[in-house]
Amino acid sequence: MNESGIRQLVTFKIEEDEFGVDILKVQEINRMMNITRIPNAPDFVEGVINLRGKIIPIVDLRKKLGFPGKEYDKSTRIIVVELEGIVLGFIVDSVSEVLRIPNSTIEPPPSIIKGIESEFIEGVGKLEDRLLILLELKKVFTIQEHRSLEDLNMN
Amino acid sequence: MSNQSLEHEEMKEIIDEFIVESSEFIENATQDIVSMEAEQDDEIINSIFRAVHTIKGTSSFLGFSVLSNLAHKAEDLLGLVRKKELDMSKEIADALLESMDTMKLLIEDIKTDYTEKQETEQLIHKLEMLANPDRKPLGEILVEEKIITKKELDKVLEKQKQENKKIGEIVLEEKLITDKQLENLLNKQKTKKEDQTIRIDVKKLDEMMNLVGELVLGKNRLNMVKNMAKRDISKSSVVDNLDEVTNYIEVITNELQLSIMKARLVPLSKLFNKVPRLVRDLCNSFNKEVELKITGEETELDRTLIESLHDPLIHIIRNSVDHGIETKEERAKKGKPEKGTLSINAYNEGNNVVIDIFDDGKGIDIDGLKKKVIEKGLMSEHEINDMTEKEIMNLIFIPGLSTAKRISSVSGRGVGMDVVKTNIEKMNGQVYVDSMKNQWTKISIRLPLTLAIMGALIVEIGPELYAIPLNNVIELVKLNREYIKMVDKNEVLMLRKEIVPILDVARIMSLPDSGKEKYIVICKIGDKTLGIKVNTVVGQEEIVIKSLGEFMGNIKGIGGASIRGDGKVILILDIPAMISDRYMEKINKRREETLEYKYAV
Repeated sequence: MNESGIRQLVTFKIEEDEFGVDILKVQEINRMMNITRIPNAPDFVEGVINLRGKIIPIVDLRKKLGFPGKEYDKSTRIIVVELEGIVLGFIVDSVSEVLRIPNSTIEPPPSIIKGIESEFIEGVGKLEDRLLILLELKKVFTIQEHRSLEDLNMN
Repeated sequence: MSNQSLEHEEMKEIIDEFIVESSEFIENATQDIVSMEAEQDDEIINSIFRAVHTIKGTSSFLGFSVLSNLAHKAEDLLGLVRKKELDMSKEIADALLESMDTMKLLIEDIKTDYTEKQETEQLIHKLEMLANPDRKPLGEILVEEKIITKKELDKVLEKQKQENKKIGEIVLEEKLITDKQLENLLNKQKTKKEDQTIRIDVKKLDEMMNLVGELVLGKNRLNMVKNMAKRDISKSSVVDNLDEVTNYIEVITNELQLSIMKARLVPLSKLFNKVPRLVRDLCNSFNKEVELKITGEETELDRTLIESLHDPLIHIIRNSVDHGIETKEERAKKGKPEKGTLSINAYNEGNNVVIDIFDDGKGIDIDGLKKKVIEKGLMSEHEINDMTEKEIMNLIFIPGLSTAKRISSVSGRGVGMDVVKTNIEKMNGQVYVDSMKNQWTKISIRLPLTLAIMGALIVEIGPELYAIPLNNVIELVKLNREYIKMVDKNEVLMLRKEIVPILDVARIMSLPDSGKEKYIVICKIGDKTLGIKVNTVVGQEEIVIKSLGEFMGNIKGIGGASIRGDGKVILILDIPAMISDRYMEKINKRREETLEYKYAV
């Protein structure tokens, strides 16, 4: 969030829903690449990729947010983000654009949006003709993940 | 140090403390130096070194420059003795004792009025001369170079005493040597041996290791491209050149990798040095007599491994002295020598380092162990009766077990050997035990030389490729269904009259069963042999181990990942973890059952 109250977001799509994440968190956007599956990993972990010599986990955002699975295609992208020192990528249907929206258009999340848990949502941006769901990446990828990993260890 | 700053009461306190502490250090070091003359002992020299080092540090911090400088010079000399570059000769011991005395006087000075009055210049010169033995007396050089004989030298030295001339002058007068020769020799005497080592930040070495890791990946990739070119382009000089240059790069990369890996290796003596003192203390507290024998302390191992080896090793030694070796009386009754023996032997075996810790104590009581395991509900009687003696012995490494009847401060709390095993397996190593009741126990630790790069067998299991660390692999056999039998719902392979259990990796990793397996990789973990069914074997490769990262955490059966020549990520199987998991499954099942039973009652 900068002083003038303008936020810069990278927006992407899953199904018909449009999402936004803070551009400062985004390291790069890649086309789909070869993913090595990890056995016994949580369901939403798609596997790992080789990003210029570094091994990076890839999460299927569709699974994470409760959307049905979908074949990857030409427009499938991997968004690589850095969250508190951990670099990871997540798969989205397509990346749309970089958007600047004033903070004033962002409203707190309604209790539920199409089944997506509201704790993952930071707010909803109202644009002229559409809604933009702002994802709280930290929550999407940390708290839940730790719980799932613990579950995994328990099993 | 000026008196002004001493106005602070705090400072005064620090200095008073320093005086007390240093006097003690000097007292102890003086005794140690005397005993060093009789017998060279690494532990004693280390303790002198530490004492002097501490005095140097503290005095320099407090601004007592004369004392700190003297301690510094003494430390240099001690350092050489410690590194075995110099022997603790009478001259050196004398000079060191003189230094101790002078330090004592300096401390007295500081005590009275916070000033250092002692003259140290001559003593420091003496220490410097001793620390620089390359500056040999000219006479010795003359004999060494076979210019004069020992007899002639004796004569010259006698003459030197009478006439009070320099040796050089005398040999010239006697025409034993020409002007030119003398000049050369004098130059030779002056050139002192250059310091052949430099200290380097470990981070820099790690960085180099990482870069070499990347280079190995690049090299693998180049190899793949070469093979593609060989396949796709028929005879051409370009392909031949590519082939040649690839081979060249391969050799150089391997050598570079090896030498950087070697730069990270440190001798085990760094760790073993602490053992004599530990054993001595343990003997005192348990009232036992133990003779310690250490061999192979020059064996080298990766720095990080040495650090992580510290705790497990100490734990094993404590166990040996506490539970292994009997008291004098017990030993006498058994007809054993009163003094027990604890020997630690390190050696290289292929790309591994093995450390054996042997004691001639009471050994492992297999029946007692069996009883304990059953009592604690960790396994059933039926299961345990199926095991070989060796397998039973190795149960000492399972969690929740301690066979010691009494709890002492250092061992016998039920945590211990399982932690040792986990720690060693974390280092990609293995640990196993062998024993003979009432005779001996031997615990062997096997570690890879380094953690960063390892040889691996690339295999296909299910739909993906995996890497199996080569140090786990002993052989590769073709899968022949005739030799596979079912025992207790598990597959086993009949291999040359031996029964080798098959580890169902596909099931552990929740992979689809492909039914396409053509080979069995025979692995040896500790003293367990087992087979893994694989579809195909791609080959043997040097892989660079990378972690899956914090986000993924620990994944059962996966030891890490690596990147292959084509850029694809490949997972490394952690077979020790898989089998210990299998054990754990059994144990947990057993535990649950006993619990249920308890509640039912």
